[in-house]
Amino acid sequence: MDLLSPEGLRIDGRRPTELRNIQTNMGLLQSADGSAYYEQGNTKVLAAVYGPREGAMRSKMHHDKAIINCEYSMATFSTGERKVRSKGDRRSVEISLIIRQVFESTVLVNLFPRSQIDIYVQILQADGGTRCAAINAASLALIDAGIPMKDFAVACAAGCVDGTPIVDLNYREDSSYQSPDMPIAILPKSNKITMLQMDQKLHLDTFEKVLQCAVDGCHQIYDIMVTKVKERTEELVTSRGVLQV
Amino acid sequence: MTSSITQTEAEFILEGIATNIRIDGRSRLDYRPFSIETGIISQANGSARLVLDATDILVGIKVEIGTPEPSKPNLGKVQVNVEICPSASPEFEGRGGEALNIELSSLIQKLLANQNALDLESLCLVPNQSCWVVYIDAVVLGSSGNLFDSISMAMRCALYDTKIPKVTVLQGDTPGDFELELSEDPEETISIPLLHVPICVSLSMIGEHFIIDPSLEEESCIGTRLSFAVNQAGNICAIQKGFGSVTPKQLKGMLKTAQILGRIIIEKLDSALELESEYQEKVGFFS
Repeated sequence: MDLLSPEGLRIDGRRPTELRNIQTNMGLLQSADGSAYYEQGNTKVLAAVYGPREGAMRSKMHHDKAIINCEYSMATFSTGERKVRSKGDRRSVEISLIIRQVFESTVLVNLFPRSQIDIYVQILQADGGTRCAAINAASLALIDAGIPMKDFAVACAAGCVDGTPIVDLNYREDSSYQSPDMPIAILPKSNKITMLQMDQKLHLDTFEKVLQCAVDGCHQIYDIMVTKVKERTEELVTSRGVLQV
Repeated sequence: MTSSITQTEAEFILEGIATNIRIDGRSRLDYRPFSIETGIISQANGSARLVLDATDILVGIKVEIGTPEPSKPNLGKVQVNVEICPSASPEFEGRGGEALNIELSSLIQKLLANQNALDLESLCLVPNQSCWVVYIDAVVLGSSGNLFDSISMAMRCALYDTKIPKVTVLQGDTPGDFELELSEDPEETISIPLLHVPICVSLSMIGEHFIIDPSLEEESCIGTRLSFAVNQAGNICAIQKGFGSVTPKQLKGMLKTAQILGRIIIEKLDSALELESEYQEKVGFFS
């Protein structure tokens, strides 16, 4: 099965630079300080943020900054085949580490010494791009919790088929040998890359094109996220009577 | 999930319940309003979400082909798994929620253990060789008390939504050898009959009276909790007692109440599910 048809369409009918349909929602969990639901095509992710709060383990606390703790887990029914995952399995631990590293450099941790910020991400349905969706959901959840950050952290994956860069890979595309998988996360205002991973072989000449494709994808997602945050803020201020519409 | 309350708050709750007024204004046998939605996880065979105050439960059902138990060759299998997400509370991070997960999973599994609850005979494809295995996975995204009942109700809704692909059993080349042919048509499915599926009705004793649907604060004051599995006909299918003690007379009263309440709840749930299946749009996590 060719990932890119001769007419230039991908297996789900998208063009190479077209993102999947994105839907978001913030503030849905009552018990968490901040929460967000992020959906990109068939990938559905829920993120919850607790904090900044007093650290659970005194020994791990830093005297001059907050520590960020992250747990990424996938529901057993999230993948095509039901898979029971133990809490400490390698892939989950790896992605938890990646999310933590992204937000350690994005969140203004120096404002909260000796505290802890917890980010819990639950994958409800997985169809490729789960680590990128997890980062986007966590960004929105942190904003919902009111935790100050330098910028949004926006993530997107890109690949390339026969020299044509493709953006936002679904499960079929990123597990295929025909295309490398390059998820990246950037801070949109400064275009700084906070996460970069790649698997399979990619020629150095094509690398630049694929990277640019991923960065463009991130900017498109950023626009959607900013619109959502502005809508939500307007909702909140009008409901509190601060802004008269 | 524990909520720490002061001595004064506990006494206030106790006295309020004695006069049939709880802290949020409900009477002892009043349920909080909740909403249900089915079919939100498209990759699962059936799914449902139940939101009751801060309790948020997502149930996903997947069916796979497996082998029947050697001691029960004509029956299919059902496996229930409950997982509390750390998004409900940071105490459930890592292995923190393991004990509670196991308690919830085994209680719910017991409710459905009765082979009449889910028609396991219809899930058998080839006796001794293959059968459907129904995996019911519940994820608790938030909690505000009353987890047992909410999970069982969400499960009932998810079972209502479950569509099992139609399978034809064909004779293979050698006698005793069967081939299974899965229908290609996504519309050709069989549903699970809910007639005998019970839900859990938990009655909690606070002081001398019992209440239904306790909130987190009320759960810290509970003396005893009894969970009854009640089906549509009002039959009690299973009983589980938690900590504490109860007199036989109180037990009788609780049994009667559980039967009545169980029937009412199932009736309301079923009519809401029928109404919901007529809606085309799914709102999901966007409401």
